[in-house]
Amino acid sequence: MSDSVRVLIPSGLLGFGYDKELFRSALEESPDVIAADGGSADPGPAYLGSGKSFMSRRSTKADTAPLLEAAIDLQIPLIVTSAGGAGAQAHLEWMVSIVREIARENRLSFALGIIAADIDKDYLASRARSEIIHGLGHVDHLSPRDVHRSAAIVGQMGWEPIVQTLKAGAQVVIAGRACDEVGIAAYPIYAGFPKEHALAMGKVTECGSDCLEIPMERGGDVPVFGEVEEDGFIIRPASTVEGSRATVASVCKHMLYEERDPLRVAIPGGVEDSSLAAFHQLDEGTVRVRGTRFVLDPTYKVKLEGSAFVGYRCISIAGVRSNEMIAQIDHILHKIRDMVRNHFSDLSQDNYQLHFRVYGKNAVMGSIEPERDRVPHELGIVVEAVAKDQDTADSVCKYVTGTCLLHMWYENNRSGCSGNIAVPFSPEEIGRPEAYEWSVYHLLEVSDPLELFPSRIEQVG
Amino acid sequence: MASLYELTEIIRSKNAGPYELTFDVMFKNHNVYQAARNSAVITRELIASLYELEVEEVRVLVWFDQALALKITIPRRIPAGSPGERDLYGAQQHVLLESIEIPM
Repeated sequence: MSDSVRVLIPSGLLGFGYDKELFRSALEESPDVIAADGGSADPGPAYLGSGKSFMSRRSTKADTAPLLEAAIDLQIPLIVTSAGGAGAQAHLEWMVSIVREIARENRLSFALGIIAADIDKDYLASRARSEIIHGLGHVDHLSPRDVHRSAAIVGQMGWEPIVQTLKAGAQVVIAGRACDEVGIAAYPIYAGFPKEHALAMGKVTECGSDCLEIPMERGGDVPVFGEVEEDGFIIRPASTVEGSRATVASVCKHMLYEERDPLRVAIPGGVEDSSLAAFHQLDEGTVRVRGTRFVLDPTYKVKLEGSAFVGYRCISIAGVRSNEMIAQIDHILHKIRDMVRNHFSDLSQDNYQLHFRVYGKNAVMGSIEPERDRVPHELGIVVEAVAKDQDTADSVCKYVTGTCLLHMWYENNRSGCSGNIAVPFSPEEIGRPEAYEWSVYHLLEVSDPLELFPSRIEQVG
Repeated sequence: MASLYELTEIIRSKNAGPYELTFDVMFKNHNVYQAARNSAVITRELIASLYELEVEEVRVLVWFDQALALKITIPRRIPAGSPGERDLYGAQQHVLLESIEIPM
């Protein structure tokens, strides 16, 4: 066994882009594996629920092709996790089709491992009936109803299914939803290095160059090296990058990112504990971390994510420049809600939702906005109508935008109701994105880390 | 007196999962970090009043010496991405922290 495993992480999210020149020169430093995280739940439930991939096909393919070609050329593994963003069946198949397309076009030949992360609804509902499945960050126990109303449910796999797929002979692994750091940690663990260092290194590097100090003018993502050793790990940017460096500060700052408590991060199987970690600046651009621990959970728990369809939506946007309307906008929007209730009196109020966001006033922060009573010269109003059918959503949105906002009377209306708003688009409705919500966000106990994550190996090319 | 804005390099907010919002306040140097920490100005009560929460709802408020940073975690108003969402990533809710005054 060699002294260390060198993992090359080209970017924080496959499809966001990375510096291809820097990536190519990083290959000269003999990485042992290339690892790329393809996804996140951050962009909200709609991607999981609808089956849409988060990034475009074009940008995902452009980011994946150099990685795949390099892996085959150097005869090292490529591991992609949370494929397609949300990592459910539709996203996984989408990513696999991109990989096959690249392989065909470049005449590449390799063993492809595919690991699914979808949770069977009947299985999960049955467990929800017979045991308490705790929510994460919220109090509700998982109900069979929430399972059945979900359009898609995935579990975040740990490193075990990936390691097993490597052991079974896969060179390229495309995995569905996985815990952020495990795609990066898997190969070092497979190669026999300590989990506590591999996982902590994965946590630092899973957002790519966010763990580095980078000169502002650089722009594109800088590939990162994470090297796992017997007693710790090392972080540094890909070679020959001017001005980019890993510092103790940049590494520590990144450990705070998106974590409720960064010193103890729960992952499948246990907790990454860096409360006793020591960070050392090895040279100007390199940081060594020692002392991270992995505390095993007595029971193995998998984080579940599920998304349920809420309704059809219609969205419009309108500008306001009339000072009198701007001054009274709260009252006007309140009055519009009354008008909508009257006009759609045949509908019960739980048949639709109506949301306003008033940009220039308090769209971003809502009721906690301290500047909400300041009167700007211009407002942007976004109207969102959600309903059980598209026609109702369209009707509510159109009534609010056309009948109410555009033509209604309000006190001291100096333009006489002919046109109270500036509509930027024809058609007025700028979008009809389906509305989803998180329906499952719970921890499920399993006896075997592999049991929810079936994998298969196919020869490509 | 100095504002947190003046004492820090970064003040940011972001979701920690769909149900929680987490803030990172990263101080410019060890001195101002210690001054802010020792002043005991930033409390769960202060955060609760700024963000219209009950004090018990401020879930995490911890100081991290290695990163010269303060972390605060609170519940989101609605699960991320539900209808009526104002800030999908929770990335623009930090401004209220900027004007907190620390005696120096």
